Amino acid sequence: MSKAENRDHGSGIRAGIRSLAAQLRSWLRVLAHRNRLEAEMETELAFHLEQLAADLIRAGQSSTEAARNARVALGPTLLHKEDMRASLGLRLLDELRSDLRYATRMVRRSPGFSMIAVSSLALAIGANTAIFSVAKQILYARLDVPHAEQLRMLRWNGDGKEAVHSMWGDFDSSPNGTTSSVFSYPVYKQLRDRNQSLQTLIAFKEDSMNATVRGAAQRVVVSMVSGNFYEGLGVRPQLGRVIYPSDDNLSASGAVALISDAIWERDFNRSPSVLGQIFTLNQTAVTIVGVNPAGFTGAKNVQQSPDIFIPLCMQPLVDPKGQEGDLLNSSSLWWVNVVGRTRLDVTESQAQAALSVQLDAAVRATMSIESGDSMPRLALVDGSRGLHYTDQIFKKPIDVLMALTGLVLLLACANIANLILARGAARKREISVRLAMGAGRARILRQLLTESLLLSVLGGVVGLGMGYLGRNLIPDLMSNSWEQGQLNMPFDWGVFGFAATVTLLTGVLFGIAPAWTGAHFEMSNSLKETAQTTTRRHKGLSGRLLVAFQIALSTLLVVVAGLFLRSLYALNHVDVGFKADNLLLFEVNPPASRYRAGEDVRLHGRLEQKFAALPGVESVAPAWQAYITEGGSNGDFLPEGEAFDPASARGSSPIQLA
Amino acid sequence: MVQEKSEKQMDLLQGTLDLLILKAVSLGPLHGYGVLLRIQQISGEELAIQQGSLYPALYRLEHKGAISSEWGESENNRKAKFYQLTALGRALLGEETEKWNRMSGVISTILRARPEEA
Repeated sequence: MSKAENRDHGSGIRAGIRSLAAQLRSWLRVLAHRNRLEAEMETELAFHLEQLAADLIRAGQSSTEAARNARVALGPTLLHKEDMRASLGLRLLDELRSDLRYATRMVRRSPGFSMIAVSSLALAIGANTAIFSVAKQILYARLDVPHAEQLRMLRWNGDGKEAVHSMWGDFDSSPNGTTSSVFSYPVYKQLRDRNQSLQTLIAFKEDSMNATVRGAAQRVVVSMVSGNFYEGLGVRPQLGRVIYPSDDNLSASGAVALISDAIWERDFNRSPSVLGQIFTLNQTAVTIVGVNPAGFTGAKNVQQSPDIFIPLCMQPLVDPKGQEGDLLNSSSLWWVNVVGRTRLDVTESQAQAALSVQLDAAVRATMSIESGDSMPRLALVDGSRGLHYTDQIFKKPIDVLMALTGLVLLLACANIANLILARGAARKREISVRLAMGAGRARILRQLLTESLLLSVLGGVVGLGMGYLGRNLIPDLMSNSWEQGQLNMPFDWGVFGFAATVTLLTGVLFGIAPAWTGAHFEMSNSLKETAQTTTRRHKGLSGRLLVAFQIALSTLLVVVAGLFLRSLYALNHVDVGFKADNLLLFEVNPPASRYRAGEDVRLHGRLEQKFAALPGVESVAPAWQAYITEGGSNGDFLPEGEAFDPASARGSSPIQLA
Repeated sequence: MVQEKSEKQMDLLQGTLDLLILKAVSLGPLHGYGVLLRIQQISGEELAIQQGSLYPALYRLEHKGAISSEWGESENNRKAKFYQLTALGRALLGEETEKWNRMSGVISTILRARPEEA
């Protein structure tokens, strides 16, 4: 019994789906051949009449009588055809079409009003779209790797007295303690080898270096990555091969590199013969073995890709740092970023607990812990957006901008709603006539809403174009000449969807109140008014509320704009403590392998002399950190004559140059 | 063949036109006028069908996929649209027939009820 019912049920669903498919097919067919449908309906009904009349004549009626009786029997064909169209599901479409035609006529009839409405909407929607595209990219975009949501970045927190004294990388100290995302290479190696709680642990470090490609030197950002980097992230090259775990051994595979899609395009014209070509990186010859896929930006950030990816084991060769140059065996300097993927069978807290224990063991195994040193505590954080520095910097400004442009859009809505309300008063007669002739209120409401939506769609289309043109404006404004780096804002379906949604919501928002009041009023009064009666300004509550809202919003926006301008003015007139005009600022990065310690100082001395000798140069000043360039360096110092005492040095605050 | 509506003709029950059309075309392809004639013929001229409502019903059934249409030649060599039952329509006809039989059975049982049985 129940089995039979089940079968019945199943076949019912199948039949339903088949019927739905048939309806869709029929609909599409009708839409494609609309003219043919009209002709066919005509032919079919004519055939019916003809046959009916012929039968009536055969029954003994005269031909005129038969024709008349046949028409009476069939009834009004115009009505039948309307019903036939409705049977095909065409009524809604037909009404929409006529609504649109009418709305277009209304838009054309008052070009001034339409222009004002469309252009203010376009400005507001365009600004919102541009800022949304920036916000989406900076605050929400994920790394372009499969299952980016599984990525977890390793960080550590300390109480300010932790055993880690020397770092190259991000570092934050606050009253609550310190936090950083860099580890020493020996610690990383031990974590990786004992790790059972994440899929793999990947290490990477980005640094800028000198590359000479085809004879032309350029500054490049290089990502040094562990051998499991590509495998762990699940990234395949668009050409050649990736870096393998076997590349962790430099003597075995030699110096190899993958290049970014951008470099491939810029320096190699997308030629496949790039594989096997050799370029120099900080005086080291490196062979290109592969090209990264477009869109892949490494593991550190989402906005920009490093230009070159090399095995981490090449660090001592191409990027020596510190006293010994080799950081791979240094347990005192912490510098590599570590990222991993979650495993399905291990919860996040389990993974964090297990890794914490392992970090503790690794630190104790690789470093000598002095008394008074505390242990860094491990923290797993979301790695799907890399280290996401940018959103920490830009979150607030972007949120403020989003809110402000949202308010501008709201104000545009209020303005247009008020204009339409005013116009609605003038259209009372027209609507009364339509109501009197039998149009439903819902139909009138729909008609008025269609007009609003048409306006908003026009504004939206223009706004989308403006957003597209303006999408790089904000990143351009935020960048400075000191740090090159253009953030590219992709204009994708997400942005288009946002603009479309905003547009439709806008149309409904400013259209619904006027449409409602337009469709709901006592028509008898309006019909009695003569054409000469000047239509009174709509004095409803909604009109007055709107005006109050407009004024409040405008005041708010004007005040905010004023504050912004004041801040901008103040920023431009900050006393930086030195004469900032006619200053040229630049950076020289002599390769460490050629200019060893001491030699680099002499190089800067020679440069200083040569620059000072140039005509037009008043004075030259070298600096380890240039002023107000957002760079910084921390270090301990000892007053002359004092001996280094490790116990008292712990916890002393280092001087900071900024 | 077609008669003026007479006293003895019955109006069609609401919702039964679709069922009658399906039955009529299940016996072979028909044009719209043919559907009308066949229903009247089988009913023994007992039913009055609003001719105007026939075509919207035909279009509705075709839209649902229960019948399909094809242009062809009528008996007197005129261009006419012929309707025939689809597999979906056949299933629908079976379903609706069963439903109708059950409904009419129930209703006639109710109407046969006597006071002492109630």
